[in-house]
Order: sequence, then structure tokens, then C-alpha cells
Amino acid sequence: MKKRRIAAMVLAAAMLTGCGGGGGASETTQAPAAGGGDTAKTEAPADAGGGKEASGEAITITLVESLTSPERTAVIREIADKYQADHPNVTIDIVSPPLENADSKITQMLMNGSGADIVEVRDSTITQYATNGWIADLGQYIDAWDEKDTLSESAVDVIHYFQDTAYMIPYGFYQRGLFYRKDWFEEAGLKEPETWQDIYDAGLAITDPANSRFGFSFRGGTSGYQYADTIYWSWIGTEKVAHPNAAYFLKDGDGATIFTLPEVKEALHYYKDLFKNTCPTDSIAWGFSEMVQGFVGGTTAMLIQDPEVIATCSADMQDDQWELVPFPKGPSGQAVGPNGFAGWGMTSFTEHPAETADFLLFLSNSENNTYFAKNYSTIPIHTNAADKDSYFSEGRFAMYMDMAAEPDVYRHAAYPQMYEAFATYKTEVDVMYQKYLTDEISDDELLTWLDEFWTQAYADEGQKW
Amino acid sequence: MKQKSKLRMRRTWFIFFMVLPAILIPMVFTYYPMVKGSMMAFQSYNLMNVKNIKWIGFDNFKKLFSHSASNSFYTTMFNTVKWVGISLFFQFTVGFGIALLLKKKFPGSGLYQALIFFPWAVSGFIIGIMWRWMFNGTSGVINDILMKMHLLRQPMGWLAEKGTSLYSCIAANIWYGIPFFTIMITAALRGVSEELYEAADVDGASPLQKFTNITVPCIRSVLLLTVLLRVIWIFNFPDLIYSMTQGGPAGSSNIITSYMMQLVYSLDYGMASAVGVLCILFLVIFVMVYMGFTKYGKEEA
Repeated sequence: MKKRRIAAMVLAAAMLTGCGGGGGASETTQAPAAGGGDTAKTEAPADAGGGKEASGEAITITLVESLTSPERTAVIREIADKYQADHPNVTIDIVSPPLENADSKITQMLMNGSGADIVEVRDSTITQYATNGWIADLGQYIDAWDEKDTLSESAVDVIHYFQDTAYMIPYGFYQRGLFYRKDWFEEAGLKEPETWQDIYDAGLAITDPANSRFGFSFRGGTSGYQYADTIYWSWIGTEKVAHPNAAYFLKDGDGATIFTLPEVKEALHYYKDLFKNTCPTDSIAWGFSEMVQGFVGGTTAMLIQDPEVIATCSADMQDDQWELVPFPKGPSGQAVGPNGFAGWGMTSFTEHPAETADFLLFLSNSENNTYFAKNYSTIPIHTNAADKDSYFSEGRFAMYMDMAAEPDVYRHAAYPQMYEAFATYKTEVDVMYQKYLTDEISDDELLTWLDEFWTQAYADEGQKW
Repeated sequence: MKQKSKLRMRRTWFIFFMVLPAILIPMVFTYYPMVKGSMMAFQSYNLMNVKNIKWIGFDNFKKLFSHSASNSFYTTMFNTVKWVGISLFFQFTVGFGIALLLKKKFPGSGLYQALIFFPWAVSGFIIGIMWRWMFNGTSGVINDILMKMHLLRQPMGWLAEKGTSLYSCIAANIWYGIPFFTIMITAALRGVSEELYEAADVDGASPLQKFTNITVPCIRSVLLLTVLLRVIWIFNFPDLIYSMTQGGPAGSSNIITSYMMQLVYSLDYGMASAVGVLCILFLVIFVMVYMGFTKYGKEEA
């Protein structure tokens, strides 16, 4: 009698500890695939040649990827093999954790202070890695680099993204462009959309819920606020913001935010109208895959997305069905989009900093970076990329070169990711926008919340750009 | 005499060493991480800046229970009750019903049972993704079926409406959880002695009387245990919600554990841990009340 009761208690306790691990449980099940699997670790051939004595002791450089895909790993492996052929004493290991939790895996490695020499650093992780002192300053290596002069302006900006220290070298950019259904536009006699107003007007003309046709692929789910942000900035122009990477704050505003400006309120109304009148109602829950599926599957006529969608469109649509055009402009005359980036950083605990930096620069040189960018649909970091490969001056990709040619119109801005408060912001902001879009709170309530949140963050953490 | 005590000493040590792994392994791999993890609940522990970790007492909990426009923890708690209560009710009743139908063996019953079991064998995330597309407002199959049946005139964004998102997830969860009850209860039913029913037939008992007086009492302990297990499991099952709605729109379908996952992904481990501690607290209270109420394990003797 008593025994049974105890057994049940023990069982319950066991279940409860399962609860403590809640989120972790799903992570651990994937862990073996990351560490143990042969597929995940692309081992280099043991030794390329006999030149050991000539170039010093044998060393291994471990590179850990985040935005993993088998095709991309193969490209990096190819470049690494090329490097190994020239440096027989160096072995390069590429570790590819599964995409879903790659960043937390990298975080664990960095916290442990071992197991990695080069890590993939993203716009969403650089602040964390640099603040915690996990990645090293590459300044001296870049200064001595013979290819530093062909780096694009954006690349130089990113290199010095965090506190003016060279914590990473980007491998490319994810600039957004506007994809639209050419056939539908021609059918309805609409012109190519150039401004946000064009998007709204065309969207209104095309939207026909009865036939489940809609104007715009709206992102209402996770990270939807990023779309609202780009609309704000297109309305106010980038001259008014304190810094392109902290574009919630006003220039010389001492922590004052853009959310009090009348233009922003106007832009917010535009954002809601766009959603209510030209988008499917369930797009309030859409994320990346629904947006792309909505466009490719023939539900929506317009989509703003990264260049990686070019491949999806090419595969699933006829060539004359769609077109990729520059990011839309706002009333300020500017088109302000995010310039998503990712790249490579060197860990602060690497045992072979000189060799690691040498490989990192090899990976980032014009030839290899252009090759990488072409195969991975990112915008290359060297200005001579188009000379190296006509791919970047022809076809769909040429649009990005057009945008780059007009830097006064096509500008970049980003939310202040360097603030610790950004972690909290990320969990709360989507909910607030969804509440606004479903009429639970008013425009003023949303803007006040945004303003107070960032004014407080500035008061707590000071100026961090 | 001396030798005897020496022998006893050695035996004690021997037993101690035999038991040691059973003590050490849970200590190291379960309780140490649990205690260590719970400590984060009282710290400002944000992975954005691990150099700045400090003790802050109950601030994380205060933040959870504070009233502000952006705080949806109260809705989240209420949702959790709905999520567990409604899911469990339908999983249990439907599962029990199917089990009663499966009690008698028939040709192909083994295959049928295996088929019934199928949803239980699929990962929660995959089920979530599957149902997310089925509930999709523009291209989902559920809208299509309902419209063809003339139950719906216009397609509906099931996961996009605050009024339906949580219930859509619950529907998926019910589908997922029925097999568990079916399998457990079928096994228990097969263990009930046929003689009891024969005796009841002789006494002229009605089917309902047989059900309430023989079937239920005989499998009572299995029923109580499966319900207890399921409550804990459903409570700890954010996979579906996370992959179907991510708790949206506007937090209307978040349950406590999916909210905790969001906090983990935002790198605020302190807050996430505070939610985790509350989860344990809620479940411990529930288990105690449940056991007291059902007098689980006391009857049998």
C-alpha cells in the first residue's frame, strides 16, 4: 500500500524534472547529430603533402558554421581544401551543427572557451559574442591585408560594427528586394512598383479575397516588427537617426527615439492599412516560409525578401511570371532596408591566432568570397566582384548592383541590437504589434510603449553605438 | 566476534558501493542541473552579457506578475489551464471509447491497433508543422473541407484569429494524444477477468451496470495513473504550440512552457528559469492535490 504511493511519487518527481529541462529536452535530442554524426563534421584529408618541415608544426583550425546547409558546407570545404594544398601543415575542420540550434551550440563552445578557432558571427549574435569577450580583434591582420582596399563600404562598416573594433569579417549581405508577379501586374495594367504607396495601390487593385488573391506577403509573425521599422525609416529618412545601426534613436537626441515623430505615426497607419486592405488576414501569423509560399504559390502578388528567395522563385515559377526590383521608397525619397550580414570571427581563445587569421583572410579574399557569394546568394564584400564574375552584373542579381550605384537613395538602417535590452524587446515587440493590428491597443499605446522601452534602455545602458 | 563485525563492515561498504551509482547519477545529471538552473531564476542572467550576472532576488518573478501592456503572463496561465483541461478531456473520453471498441479481438485488430498508435510515434514538431499548413487560412485543407461541406462561407485564418488560435492547437493536441489513452486502456481492459462479466450476465446486469461496476473499478489505477501522466505531459508539451503559432497572435495561444521557450531563445535565461521554477511549483501542487483527492494507491490494500 505504502510502496505504491511512494512509487507514484517517485514517478511524478521524475516527470517534474523532465519539466525543468523543458526547452532543453528538444535540444539534447538533437545534440548527438551535431557532435557524433559523420555527416555533421566534414573531416579534412589527414595530410596533404610532405612539406611539414618547411612550414612548421601541424596545426588544426576548427571552423564552426551557423547558417548551415549541405551545399554551403561543400563550398567552404572546397575553399578550405585549396588553402590546405598551399599550407600542408594546416588541417581545417568544419563543424556544422544543425541549423535550428547552431547559434546556441556556438554559444556553448564560446562559453567553454574551447573547440573553435573560427565561428560564424551574425548580425544577431555579434553583440553577444563581442560583449562577452569571446571573439578577438582582427584589426592588425586586416591592416596588413593586401585586399583591404577593395572591400565595399558596407563591408568596412560591418567589420567595425561593434564599438569600432574589427570583431568580424562579413562574407556577404542579405539585402532585401521587392519580388512581384509580373504577369498579374500586366494583366491589371499596373506599373512596376517603386514606392510603398505603389505597393499599396497595386495591392488594393489586385486583392480579391473571393479568389484568394492578395497584394502583399505580410510578415505578422516572428520578427514582423522589422518590416514596420523599414517603413518608418523610409518615411523619416536616415539623416534623422543617430546611427544606421541604432536607428531607433534620433540624432543628437540624447536618447530620444523616433517613435515620437509624427511621420512615424503616419507610417504606422500605412503599415496597418497595408495589412488590413491588401494582405490575407492570417498573414498576421506568417513567418518566412508562409511569406515565400504565399508568393510562390500564387496567393500574393508582392514579397519583400532576401536574395536567397531568388533560387526558390526560379525553381517554382516561370521566368516571365516574376520580377525582382529595388527596395521600395518612402515619402522621404529614400528606400531604407536592413542590410543583414553574417561573417567569420576569430575566437579570443584560439591557440594559433596568426594561422587562423591567415585562413580567415583567405576565405574572405575577393576570389573566394565572390565564389562563395555566387553559390550562396549573398551580396559579395569586394567591390570588384562583378569583374571577377559576370553573374553579379547580369540577370536577377544585377538589381543589387543598381541599388548599390545609388547610395543616396538606397540606404541601410537597423534596430539597436547592441543593447542588452534587445533580448527582452524581441520577446515582447511582436506581441505588441499583433495587438495593434488586431485593434486591441491604439497607435498611441504602441508608440508610447516603443518610446518608453528604448528611452529606458538608453537610460540604463547609455549610448552604445 | 571481531571477524563477524569486520564482515558486516565489508558488507555495508559493498552495499554502499553498489548503491552509489544510483545516487550519484541522478544527483549529477538531474538534481545538480535542476538546482543550478533554478538559481538563475533569482539572477539577472542574460546571455547577451555574461559578465554582468548578478543576484536580484525575486525581481524576475515580480516582472512576470506585473501588470503592463506588454505582459501576457496572466493570459498565458489561463491558456495553460484551457490547454490542459480541454485536451485531456477529449483525449481521455475518445481514447477510452476507442479502447472499449477494441476490447474484443477481431480479425485485423492488431493491425488496427498499430494504425491507431501512429500519431503517438511522430515528433511533436512535425505534427505541429503538419497542422499549421492544414489550418492555413489561404491554402489549408481544413478550410477547404469545411467550405465544401457548406459549414463555412469564407476561408478562415484559424491560427491568425485570437479567438481560434489556441483551440486550433488544442484540436491538434487531441488528435495527437488519443492513441496514448487507447493503448493504455486497451491493455488494462484485456486484463480484466472475463469471469466477472459472466457472473454479471448471470445476475442480469445491464451493459451500463457492467461498465460502472466492473470495468471502471478494475482499471481504476490505470485510469488514475494515465490521467496524472498526461496532465504533466500536456503541460510540458510546448512543441505543438511553438511550431503552429509560436504563441501568437498577440500571445493569445501561449502556454507557460511555450512562453518559457521564447524566453530561452531571447537569451534571457533568468526570466526563463523563473518561469521554469513556477512550472515545477504548479505541477507539484497539482500532483499533491490530485493524489489527495483521488486517494491514489490507498484503495488497493
